[in-house]
Amino acid sequence: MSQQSSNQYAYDQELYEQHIKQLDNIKNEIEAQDPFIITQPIELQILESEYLENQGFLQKIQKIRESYPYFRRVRRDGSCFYRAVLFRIFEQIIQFKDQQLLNKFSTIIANSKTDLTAVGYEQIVIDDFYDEIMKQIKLCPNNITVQGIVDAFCNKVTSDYLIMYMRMLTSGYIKANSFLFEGYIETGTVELFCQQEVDPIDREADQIQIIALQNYLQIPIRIFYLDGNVATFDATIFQIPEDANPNSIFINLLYRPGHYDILYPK
Amino acid sequence: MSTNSRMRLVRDLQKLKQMIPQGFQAAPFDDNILLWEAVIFGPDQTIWDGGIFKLLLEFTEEYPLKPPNVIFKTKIFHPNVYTDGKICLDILQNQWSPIYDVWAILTSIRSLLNDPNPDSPANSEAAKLYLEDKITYFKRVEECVEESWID
Repeated sequence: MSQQSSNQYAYDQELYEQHIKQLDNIKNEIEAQDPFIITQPIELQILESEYLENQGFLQKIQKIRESYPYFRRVRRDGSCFYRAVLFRIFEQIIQFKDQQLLNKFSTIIANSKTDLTAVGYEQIVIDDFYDEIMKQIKLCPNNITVQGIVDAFCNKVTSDYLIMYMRMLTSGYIKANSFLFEGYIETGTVELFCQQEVDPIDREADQIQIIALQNYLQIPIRIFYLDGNVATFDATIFQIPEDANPNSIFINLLYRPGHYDILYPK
Repeated sequence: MSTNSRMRLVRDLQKLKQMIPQGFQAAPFDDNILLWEAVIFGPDQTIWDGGIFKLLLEFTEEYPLKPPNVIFKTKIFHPNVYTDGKICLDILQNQWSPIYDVWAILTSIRSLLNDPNPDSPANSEAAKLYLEDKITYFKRVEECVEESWID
């Protein structure tokens, strides 16, 4: 753990407290704007009204919705990637009584505690988060409805506990496989990267985190990337892993700069 | 889930009792598990060696999703501690994560003593002396180490 503070602003206490207040205000604004944590599936077309001035986005949304007409909005609080991935796994298991995915996922989670302690996580720190996710897994597939899992994710505390576990898995994988990631981390060590960019509860996931979590959970992810380029009509698609079996279950995400939502095919 | 934080703090306490930390001690007040008192011993073979610094840790029902408020009760001369005892430490603020427990918090604060970050000073006089006049800085630290025995 580093003691180096990145609080460049903390030159005097008044300024520091102002800054903390500002951050709190931003958080409150986000919560006021996004009273939901995860919405019901809504028509992707609705998103067009937000980008009437942005032809590049607009034409890509129109193209995407030919095959993926619905999406769920996920709160913009820095945890959208982790939340979208985990929610989608639960939803798939419950909605389609997907026993195969349930077995795979519950095995990975059940073994994860050992993996986390192996990279230095304290048992007492992991337990509450592990217990929460195991509690939800044990309800699957028959003792909880899709609405039930939506409700669990919309409960702020439950949601935070579930997402925190995804962050731990991500951090744990990066630390255990630091040789894979060192080259991509611009400054500092893998440890410091995890401390600053993965472990804190509101840090957005970027490529490294996405690859790490996907590698750990072994469930393919497809990301439709919206950009303002008017010369292209198709959104760029990132598929992780690149050689995933096209017939497998995918977690489909819609990416706009700084944000992920969940996409649903026809 | 107000019980989450309390159950977690009980486990934090059990860990401290079983593993017996070097360099600090901590325990909650008898009547309130959300309020802890801690003592950090200045790291050996540093200018802080011999110092005994009392701290107060105030947890909320949101722990460990939110960090505790940690302040030095003993007067301390340090670049990253405000004169009222508040600590400027990333993991207690914008880099807080539920992965930290009482042990990790106190370990971090203890290593901050001899490894200050003068780039983000909470006490600008201490930071300035640390960067520009180490002899006076050492003297001031020595004074606060001595005063910590009387406290």
